[in-house]
Amino acid sequence: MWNKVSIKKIIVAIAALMGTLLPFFIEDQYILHILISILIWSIMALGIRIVLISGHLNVAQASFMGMGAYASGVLATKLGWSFWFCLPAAGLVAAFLALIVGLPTLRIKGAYFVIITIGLAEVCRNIWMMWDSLFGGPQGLLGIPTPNPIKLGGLEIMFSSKMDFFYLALILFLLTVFVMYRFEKSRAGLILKSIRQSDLLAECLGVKIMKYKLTAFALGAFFAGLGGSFWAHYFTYCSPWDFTLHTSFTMLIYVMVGGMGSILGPIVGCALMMTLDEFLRPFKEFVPFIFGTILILVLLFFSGGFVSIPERLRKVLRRAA
Amino acid sequence: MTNSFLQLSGVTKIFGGITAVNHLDINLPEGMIMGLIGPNGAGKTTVFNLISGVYKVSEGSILFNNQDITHMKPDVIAGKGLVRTFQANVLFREFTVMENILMGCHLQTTTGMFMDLFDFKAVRRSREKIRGIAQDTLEFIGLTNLDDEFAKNLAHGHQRILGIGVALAAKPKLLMLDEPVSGMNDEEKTEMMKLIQKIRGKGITVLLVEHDMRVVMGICDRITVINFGTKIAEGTPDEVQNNEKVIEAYLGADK
Repeated sequence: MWNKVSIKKIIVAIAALMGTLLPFFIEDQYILHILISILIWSIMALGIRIVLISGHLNVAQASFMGMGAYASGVLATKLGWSFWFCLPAAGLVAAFLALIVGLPTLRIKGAYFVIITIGLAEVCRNIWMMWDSLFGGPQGLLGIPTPNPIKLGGLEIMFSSKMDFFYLALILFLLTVFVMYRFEKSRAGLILKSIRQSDLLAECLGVKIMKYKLTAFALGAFFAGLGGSFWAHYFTYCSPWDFTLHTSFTMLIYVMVGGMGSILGPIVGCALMMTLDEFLRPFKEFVPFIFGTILILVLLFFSGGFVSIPERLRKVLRRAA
Repeated sequence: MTNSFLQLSGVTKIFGGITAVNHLDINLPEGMIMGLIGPNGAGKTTVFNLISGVYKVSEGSILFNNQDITHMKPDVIAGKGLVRTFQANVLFREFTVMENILMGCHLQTTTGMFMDLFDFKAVRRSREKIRGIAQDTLEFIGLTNLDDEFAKNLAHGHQRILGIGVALAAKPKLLMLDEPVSGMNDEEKTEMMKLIQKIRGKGITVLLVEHDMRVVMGICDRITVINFGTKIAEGTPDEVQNNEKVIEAYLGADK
């Protein structure tokens, strides 16, 4: 037990150190961009997972990210807010939306909840498309400024290079992982998992199940909103086509391929699949086919996802020995 | 007779056009084991669901410990010290035995959800206290050596005992058991009867629904018989056994 924990911690520490030093070794702006994408989409995937462990599949996660992106974009372009105020505001807007939507809908289980989130995603997309004056319609919201420069000690960070964005993304990512990890390791994690197994029993043991479901939902939306804000200011525009149902489903595939059993799963899933996606760029039209095949194979042969492979191997070896 | 601990007066439940429970009165004094029996479909489990707040009461009132709990939600009712088990093996099947019991301890936690995110002394103390309660509960129900086993891998009898353990961990004042010995062999039934008496020995009042007459007659102080949602008899096991209406309900009338 103790061995396992310390090994895990060492791996995480090494990965974090490598991640931090990586941009110094990578001159290639293209690779840096992919790393940034992986970090930001992982934030979103983690949000899907924290709700999924309570048995609720939310396919409007991309819409929460979009809400954050648009909120941040509107506040920056129309009201001239600094990015450093837009960022938390975007998270809060997304979380607030999640609370409003979650209060009536999280009482509903299974396929019905999924259908409601599909509806939510479509509603969001249509609002962004139709409300030209505020959200810029189909071509999106343009001219979002890059983050305002900040001074850290003697160092001034201008956000003119990809490296600066990489570190900001890394900070947001680590913050998300940290909070989600603490949340899941606390009693709340146990309760969320218990709700998936029998919400009735949990309720009859005095658990206020709505409180925990809503918190998980809002937490996932909050970090998606932060990611969305980053995304908007990184690309300097946001478009309704970036945050569709398709985006959420792709994300879900990443979560399933990586494995939903642990926090590491969605991160591994995002890293693997997004890297693969880049390699498959010349065969763009086959990507849905290939991703679908991978998903089916993973679910057939190791339903715990890629992160469950070491555990499976250990079992096989033990049986062989 | 002592003051009634759980009091149902005129409780009625209507599903669509069907009256499942009809003006039911039950008085359960503190410290007793009361059995609720009746033929299949008599509405016993519905009564349980009404008391525990799973179903909404159509008419009538339920008092527990001199408090009106008629329209309260299940989690609030559990918080008052009225905890139930379920008929089938309803457990957190993917959790270990220990984790199941820890879930039962939920009401004993002294720190809230947000406090739990941090490693405060209060959080650690609360966690230690819970562990202690969980260990005591496991010892009480005799599953200490199975604490690491997944609930789904337990034998049927052990699953039923765990279900009761989870409820006990919530430190109930009144425990409602829904068919605790269903699907058990004679030996397991005897064990379960001992366990229920041990629970009463701790000062916990017990209300149980059960089909097995040997168990019911063996451990209950009082028995309420219902049929078609209406009470047809009440009394000590001897009284009930010789009641004509009861015999009629179970075996049918002459002619």
